[in-house]
Amino acid sequence: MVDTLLLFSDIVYGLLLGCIFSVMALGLNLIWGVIKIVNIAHGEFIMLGAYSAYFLNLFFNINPIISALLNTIFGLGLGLIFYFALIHKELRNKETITLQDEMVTLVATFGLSLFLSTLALLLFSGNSVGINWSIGSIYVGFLYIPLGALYVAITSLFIIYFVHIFLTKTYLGNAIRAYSQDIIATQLIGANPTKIAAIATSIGIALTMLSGSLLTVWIPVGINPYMGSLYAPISFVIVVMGGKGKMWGSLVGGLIMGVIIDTAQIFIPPTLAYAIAFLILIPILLISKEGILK
Amino acid sequence: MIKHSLNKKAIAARTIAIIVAVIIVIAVVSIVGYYLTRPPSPQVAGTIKIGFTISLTGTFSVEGTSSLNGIKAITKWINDNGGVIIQGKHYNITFVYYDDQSQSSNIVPLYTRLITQDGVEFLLAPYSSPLTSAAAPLADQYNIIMISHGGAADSIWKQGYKNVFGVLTPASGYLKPAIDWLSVNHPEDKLAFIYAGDSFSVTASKAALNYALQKHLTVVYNQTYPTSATDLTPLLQAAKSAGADAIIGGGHFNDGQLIIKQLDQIGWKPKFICLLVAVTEPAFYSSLGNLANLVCGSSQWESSVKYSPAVAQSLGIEYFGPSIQDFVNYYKMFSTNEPTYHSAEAAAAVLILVKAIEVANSLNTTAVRQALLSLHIMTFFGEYKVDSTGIQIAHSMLMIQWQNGSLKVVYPPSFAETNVIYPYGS
Repeated sequence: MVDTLLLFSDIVYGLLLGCIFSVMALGLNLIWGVIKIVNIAHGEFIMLGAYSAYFLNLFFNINPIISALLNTIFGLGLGLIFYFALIHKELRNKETITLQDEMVTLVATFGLSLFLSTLALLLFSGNSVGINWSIGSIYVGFLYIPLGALYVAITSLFIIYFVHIFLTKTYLGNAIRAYSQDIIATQLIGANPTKIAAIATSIGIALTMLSGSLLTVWIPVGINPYMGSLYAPISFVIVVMGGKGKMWGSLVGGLIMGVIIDTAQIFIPPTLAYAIAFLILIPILLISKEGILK
Repeated sequence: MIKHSLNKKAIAARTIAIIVAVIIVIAVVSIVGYYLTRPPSPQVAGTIKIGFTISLTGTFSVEGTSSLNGIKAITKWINDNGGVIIQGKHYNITFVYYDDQSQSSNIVPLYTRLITQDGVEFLLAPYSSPLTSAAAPLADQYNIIMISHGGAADSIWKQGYKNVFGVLTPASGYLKPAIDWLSVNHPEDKLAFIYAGDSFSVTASKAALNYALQKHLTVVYNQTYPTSATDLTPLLQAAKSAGADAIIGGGHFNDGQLIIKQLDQIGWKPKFICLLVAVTEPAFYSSLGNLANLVCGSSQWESSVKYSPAVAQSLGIEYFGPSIQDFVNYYKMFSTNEPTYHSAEAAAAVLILVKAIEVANSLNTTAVRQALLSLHIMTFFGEYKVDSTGIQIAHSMLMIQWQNGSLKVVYPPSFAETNVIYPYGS
């Protein structure tokens, strides 16, 4: 007999965690959905975001939420470098992205993934570190909620909302959406496709690094060069579950993943809980190849 | 007037010359006297090369670094005190080591290199049970003695290896002092076992769980987690929901910290917490601060526990090696921290090997193996005696607790410095 209170508290914790998963997946989704590039180094950008938050806290006592904002700036810069160093050559003057382009960029980002994790190992060693950010908790009924986790979840929801507003209500956002549907159409509305692709990529990387910063609240001793190997697959599953290119799909997928991972551990060991969360993708894809959101 | 002045100058010069001459004579006599009367220094006939890997990075870096400093300290002590005596000749100890990055995939290539390229004569096992399990087959494959100082899983000695010997209490005995204390003092407490999925943590926690049931304690929750776990809140919530009063388990340094931090995150203060390994490290307190206060742990050794020649004599066994204070003094040449049990057990492994070589009076593997099987001695680390499989059967475990920033031995009563403070969070 499952304890109802335990189930309820795990659902709430899962939703809080799922909000961060959503932002994490949003970064991947933007790059994958707009420029059709599967960024294999996604996990390593999450790791860089987490390390950045760790060092900002260590040297300047900056909390993970403020670090997330700073990471957005770092991420925008890194994203532009990432685009022009690895992606641009393959996409330049292309009206459509072919399978060959996808394969080349897949291998390039895989190489980047290995480079970044090895570099992190050399620079930071393999020792796990974490941020001590304890700002208390609140009781909601019988439930004890850490304020850090709550603030991070609220921040995540705001970020998703802002990204939505940006993509739907601004000229640049509309241009990005146009690029995702038809590169020629982007030129017809007077936008430069290279600029649009570069901006979309850098926003995607910024969101990814930002999510790495927010994630540190949930992993008090889990920042290490290999952490991307857990969170990259979670992000991929969320994007596929929510639907590639669908920003709200990332939110729904993230929340579902968070809840499944947390509540499954009531019934099964943690390792299996992650496996179950990945397996859930199979029936979803069998029913709808475009994900759960139409 | 001028003549008088010249006389004075001549007298002064002569006086200075006499003083200088006296100083030179005294210096020469002292030097000659020192060389004639000093005790003869042992003629070093050669060196004995010991090889090992250690975790200086990765999951076990904290424990590995402590272990390495212990090995450095005891090696210096041995070499400063005449080295190893074989057939009347003195040999110094040297060691070769590599950072295994806490990865078992690095163990086989690195140990193979130590044996085949570096030409080491004896091996120390790496830190931790998984890595020791990976290294142990090579000891038999290349017929070379390996002393385990950080691998406590009982399973290591169930494989039939003939060259692997342990100095520390096996995993199955780690949490017994905690269960003993609870069964005597708080038998009404409900226990939750939450532990890492590696062989050491599983063996230690399952043995403690069975022992708790034998002692008629109530176990309300039992769950493992992956060693790479970064979020244990669902498990801690489940244990809390099951009505647990005490948490027993953990694994190594990172997950030990994680449990304490996430207990704070979910706002639960169990009455009693006893974790494996992590708690003994000074970094546990320095990183957790007040949250670490009153957390209990298992320890193979603490510097406050006095193993001495007198204690050994009372047991009718020989005492070998430095006193605890000597070891601590040597350790501080290599580290600014106090030695932990990881430092001591690694040092004890070298000491036991040295004693076995001296008893065997040879570097021959068979002779040293026989000596290791027959030895029953005490070092600053405690007793050493193994059964025919090489598993340790004489060493005692301790329960320790952080009390206002200092680590105290609290159980068993024969070694306790003070009483357990209960409950956690009080």
